[in-house]
Formats: sequence, C-alpha cells, structure tokens
Amino acid sequence: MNSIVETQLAEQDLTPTKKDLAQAKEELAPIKKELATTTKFNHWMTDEQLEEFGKELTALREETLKEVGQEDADYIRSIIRKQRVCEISGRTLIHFSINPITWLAGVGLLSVSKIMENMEIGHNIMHGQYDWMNDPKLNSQTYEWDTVCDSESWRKTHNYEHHTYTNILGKDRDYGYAVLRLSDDTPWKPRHLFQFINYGLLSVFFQWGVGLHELESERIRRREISLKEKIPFLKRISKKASRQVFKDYILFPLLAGPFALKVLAGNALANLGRNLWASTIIFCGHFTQDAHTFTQEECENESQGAWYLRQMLGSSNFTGGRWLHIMSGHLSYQIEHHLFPDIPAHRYPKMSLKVKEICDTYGVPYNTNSFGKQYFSVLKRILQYSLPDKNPLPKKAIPEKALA
Amino acid sequence: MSTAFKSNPSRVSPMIGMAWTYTWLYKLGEYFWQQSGQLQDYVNFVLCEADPRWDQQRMAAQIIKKEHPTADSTTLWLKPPAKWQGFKPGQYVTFECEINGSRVRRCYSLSNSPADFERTGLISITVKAIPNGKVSNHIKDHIAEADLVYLSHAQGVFSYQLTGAQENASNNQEQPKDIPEEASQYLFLAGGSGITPIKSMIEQLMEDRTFNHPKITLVYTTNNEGDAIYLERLRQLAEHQADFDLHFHASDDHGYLTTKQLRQWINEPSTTDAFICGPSAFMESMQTGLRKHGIAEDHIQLERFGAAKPAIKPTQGKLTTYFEPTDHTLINEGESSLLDMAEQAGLNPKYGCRAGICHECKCKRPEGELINGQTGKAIPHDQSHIQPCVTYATSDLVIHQWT
Repeated sequence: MNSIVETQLAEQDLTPTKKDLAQAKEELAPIKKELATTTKFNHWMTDEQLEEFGKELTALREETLKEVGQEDADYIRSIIRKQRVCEISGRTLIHFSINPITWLAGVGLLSVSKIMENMEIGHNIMHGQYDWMNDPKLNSQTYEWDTVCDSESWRKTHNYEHHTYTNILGKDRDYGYAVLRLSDDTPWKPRHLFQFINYGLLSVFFQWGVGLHELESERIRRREISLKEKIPFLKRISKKASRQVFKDYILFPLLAGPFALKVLAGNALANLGRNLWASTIIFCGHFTQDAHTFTQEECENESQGAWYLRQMLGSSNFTGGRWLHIMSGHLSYQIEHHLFPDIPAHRYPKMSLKVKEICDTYGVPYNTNSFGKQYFSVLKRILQYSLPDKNPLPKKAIPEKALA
Repeated sequence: MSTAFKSNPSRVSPMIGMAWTYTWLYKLGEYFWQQSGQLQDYVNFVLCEADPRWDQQRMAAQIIKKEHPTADSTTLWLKPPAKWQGFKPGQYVTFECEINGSRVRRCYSLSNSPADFERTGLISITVKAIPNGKVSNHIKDHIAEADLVYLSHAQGVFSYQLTGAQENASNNQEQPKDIPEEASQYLFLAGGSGITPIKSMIEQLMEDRTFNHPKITLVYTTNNEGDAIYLERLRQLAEHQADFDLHFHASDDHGYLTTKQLRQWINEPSTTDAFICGPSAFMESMQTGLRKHGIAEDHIQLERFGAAKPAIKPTQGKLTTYFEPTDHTLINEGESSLLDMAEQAGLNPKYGCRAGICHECKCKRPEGELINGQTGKAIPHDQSHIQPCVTYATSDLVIHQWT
C-alpha cells in the first residue's frame, strides 16, 4: 500500500522549481517586511510580562547592591596594586633591558598594566561602580585614565549616549563607530567594500578613535554641525592627548638618555597591544552575529522592562577564565554590564546565573559563546555587510520559547 | 651673593651649606606633595606599600591606646604624623575611617591639652556611642589598637584666647599669650560628651603657668555619674587647684540644669567669658540663661560638634531651595528631582539618562536632608556626591556649588 502511494507521489513532480521558489519569496517579501517593521523587538511579551521581567531584574540589582561593601573595596584595591606593580616593573624593564627578551617582557607588562587600567579600573570606576567608597581617587567624576580619550568626553559618549541608547540606530554612535556598516539599516555604499581595512585601522589606533569620538566627524562632513561647536571639545582632547603623548613618547624616552629609541618603541608597542585588545573586547560586546539593532520608533517611551530587554538583546557575552574576564574589565559579561552598569563588575559572573534564569523564564535569548567563536562572528559580520543585501530586513529577536 | 659663595668657599662654613641644602630639599619636597598628579600617586603608592603610615597625601594616625572611660564611650589615643601642625585647646579634627569599604568622616574635639601632645606626641578623642550611630559604634566595637585612621589638621574657633574676637579666628597661628584683660572668670558649661573640648582647655590652662589665668568654673552635667567621662580626673584637678571649681550635676537625681541655678556660678557677668558645649537643647537653654544673667553675646562661645545633630523629619508642605550660584530661590513640595530644580533655577547642569543609570549628572551633595527616589532611603550627610536626577529633597536646601 505504502509503496503504491510512494510511486504515485513520485510520479507527480512535487519538488518546487526555482521559479516557484522565487515567486513565493517575492510574494512573501512585503509581508515579511511589514511584519518586521511593525513588530517591536519585544513582540513576544505582553506589557505585563515585560513589567514582571523588569521587576525581577531590578530585584536582582537591589539584592546585589546590599552585598556591596568591603569585598568590593578590597577587590578594586588589589587590582590597582597589581596594575601598578605591572606598570612600574614594565617601565623599569623597558628602560634597563639587557636583551630583546627582557625588553619584550617589559613591553608585555606595560601593555597588561594599560589594559587593566583602562578596562577593569578606569572604565568601571567612571561608571560610578566604586563611588560609594567615598574615595576621591576612585570617584567617577574625577578619575582620569591612561588613554588619549579624556574622561569627561568618555562619560558623555559612553556612559550616557552608548549606555542609554544601546544599539539604537542613529542614536548610539558606538554602533560601527560611524565607519562600519554592520546592519542592513545602514544604506550600502561602495566604500563599505573596504570596511575591513577601516576596521583594522580603527583597532590599531583605537585610543585615538575613542578619543575623537565626540568630534562627530561624520556629522561635520555631512554639514549637520559645524567644527566651531566642537572647539571646547577640541581644546579638552588636545590637552589630554598631548599629556599622553608627552608621557609615553617624550618624557620616558628622554629619561633613558641614549636608549630613548628603545623606550619609545616599547611604549608604542605597549599602546598598540592595548589598542588591539580593547577594540577586540568592545567589538565582541555588541557586534556579534546575533546582537540586535533597534529603530528609534520602537524605543520611544519604553518601559523599564523594555529598556532591560533592549540592553540584553543588543549585547553579547563570551566565556573564559577568571583572568580573561579581569583583562576585559568584565565586559565579557557585556549583558550584565549593560543591565547594571554601576554595580562593581567583578560581581557580574555571580549575577549572570540569575540573569540566565530570568532569561530562561521569559524566553529571552542570552547571547554567549566562547571568546574565539564570538570574535569570529564579529569578523564575519564586518565582511558580510561589506556587501549590499537585496532584501534588507531588520533583524528581530526570536524568543527561545513561546510564553503562556 | 652667589659669586661670593663660589670665590670664597672657606668663608661659608659647611654647616650652613648643609642646612641650606636641607632646607632647599625640604621645600622642594613640600612643593612636590602640594601638587596632585600621577607621579605623586605612584610615589605615594610605593611609600604606602612599604609602610602605610608614610602616606604623603593623607595624614595617617595610628591608634596607640583604646580605653572605655564609661560603658558607652571610647577614648582613642592617636599618634598623628610629623607634619600634623598641632592644635589649640578646644579645637577639633575631621576623623576618617573605613567602614565596610566606604570612607566616612566625622568631626571630634580633641580632649587632651596641647601641652600633653608636646610631651607625648599623642592626641586623644573621646566618642560616645549613639544608638544606631554608624561611626561612633564602629569606633567602640571595631577599631583596634594599631589600626590606622586619617586626620585633618585641627580646625575650629572654640577656644579661650579668642574670646570676643571671632574675626581673628581664622588666624590659626595666634599664640595664647594675651588673655583679654577684662575676663575675671571662665565659665565652662558642659553637657554629656560636650566635656571633651572643655577638658582640653581646662587642662591647658592648668598647665600654662606663664600667665595668670582667670578663675575657672566648670559646670558639668550628665544623666548620672556612670555616664560622666573624665569625672575622676577633673575632680582630682579641682582638689589640687585653688582657682578651679568643679560643679557636677546629675540630671537623673536633680533634674535638668535650670537657668536660675546658673546664676550662683557667675561672679561678675560683665567680665565673665562663657563656653558651652553639649546637646543642642542644653546649649540653647544655657545660652538663653547666660544672656538673662547679663553676659554679653560676644562673650559666649558655643561648640556644636559635641552633640549629635537632631534628626530632621521630612517636612510635609513647602520646601525652599536656595541656589547660591544663581541667587535663585525655589519653593516646591519636594515633588521634583534636584536635577529638574537646578534646571528651573537656570543652572544648566550636565545630565544624561535622567534615570539614575549613567552618573552623568552627578553633583556635589547640597546641604539639607535628601532621599534617593529609587530606594527611598536617606542620603548620608558625609556622602560627597549625589545623582540629582533621582534625588529628592525632604527639607530646605542650600546649594553652594553644583559641581
């Protein structure tokens, strides 16, 4: 019996032709597009569910804040101690190296120190994670870090703009840093064909890219704003940048007298190492394959719960050992960092367990993978969007499961 | 001058040269530590790693001895660093210690005399544990001998040599040599732990025999003898010194001190200088009493740090906020955040998310009672900065400077 049906079915050619497929796709495209543009990123949750979801995360925040105390003070001080020991010994080794191996060791230590200072110390202190310690040296408003970017500019472009409008196209200028096309919402232009080169350059000169971020050069080019408006910023950044350049490329080399070149090269290499590392970590946080983007319309008047959800969908974590997390300033827990930017970052690993549980309850995808896989997906994404897409569709989050 | 030095070195003794070099190096060091920068931070880091007492950016004082003069009070004997500039009797220091990772500061009067400090190199403070008091209970229960705390230089104008000359108060270097001629009596009124700056003054007066000081009268009141700090020591002093009278008043047995009672200790109101330190209610009633008995306003000095500030209840109704930078006064019912209020007052403050996330709007803590709108909890007085977008006033405020 079965074999008869099978034969009959086989006689009828049921495989759709290429033409059929193309036709179906064409018919579906407008429907899909309409669906995609009219559905909000939080489409699978009712307002009540979103509110509950937000409340659970706020409860986690309150719970963790209660525990913040001596342990966190001891932690950040021990990290600062390690960083300073690294920096002092690194600079000493570069100065008094007897062979390329000791010199390289010095460069490595200095680079590690700069990474720790930028990621785990400076970035986190400036988020206000340690303000409660009441220590003027660890205060978010007065801290100045070891990079070209001046901290006032950073607090504006990063703490406010990036953290409030995370991955909202046209509002979050960290999205692609105005040089990369990472979503079909950005219209394709021939220059995007070479964006991989731009990515390489941005990574190499990352501290300068971050430092000049507030200049909004793309908006100046489009004549939306004038250079005049940016004069106060330019004054600030040139002051900070000249300090940094003076320290690493003039003062310390001159202190070494005849070995000035060796020190200059060592400092440059240490800065390069830090630039590449910082850029890699930051790209893994928001530009992985499954990190979502949002339109301004869908984020209007968003509730606390929707805000949390957007932070989650727009961020991605990576896994690794304790020191990978420390060296990334715990931005390996980018999701937790975006949910709770002012909670001491070393608490994110513990918090992530509860966050995952909440994600599971509400069907929210939790974007995490190994460091290598996440980074590979970033590179893939940069390459993929170098080319135009014929049927651009905004990316929508797909719930892990349907909610009752 | 420098040519003379070079051409004729034999005329300059090497001692002078060394002294000159030493002074010069010392001044250079002083100049170096007056600056703040990364270099200073790193040098200080190395020094503190070697010995935390060598901290050049803060004044670390070690606890040498800890005593409990009464059941709920603690006396700490501290060794301030060499650069600590000393004090005048009656002055206080800002005392900083760390509680659960967070730095907290309180002002405490010094209770020993400057003469005693010169002899021993130690200073003492006595702190009464207030119920639920964060720092006072931490000092009582957790601070131990050999711990480090941090001090400010001595501050304050509550002192006898400045009587009637408040405007000279800022001149800290003034030596206690010219007692105003007209003073024939010093009347000290101490309530509870308000005895601490007064004890310092009395001890110094007893020690300083280089001038004739006026007659000293101390009226000391506490609930009962068990609560009275230094009572034994003061009684001993009174026994041996003819010009020092002590009157102890236990309010549990005899009721609160009345202004009427005050009259018996005043010899000649026109030449009496009075010093009051104690709980606010005590100070107020004593001040009124002294005035009634004919002591002029500028001969009465008050020290408010000895007393715990009364808790201000959240006001229901109109609140006034005064913005010093713009001279703007705002009246509302505490319904808008400090950030909104600053904008209304034309301050043009920095802001970001306006939801307590980004810390972009952070500003200095204004004077007054505040709560965090997100947690509903009061913001402590010694917190240096606040997030104005989620901070609400519960009392009248004075905003001196926004950032």
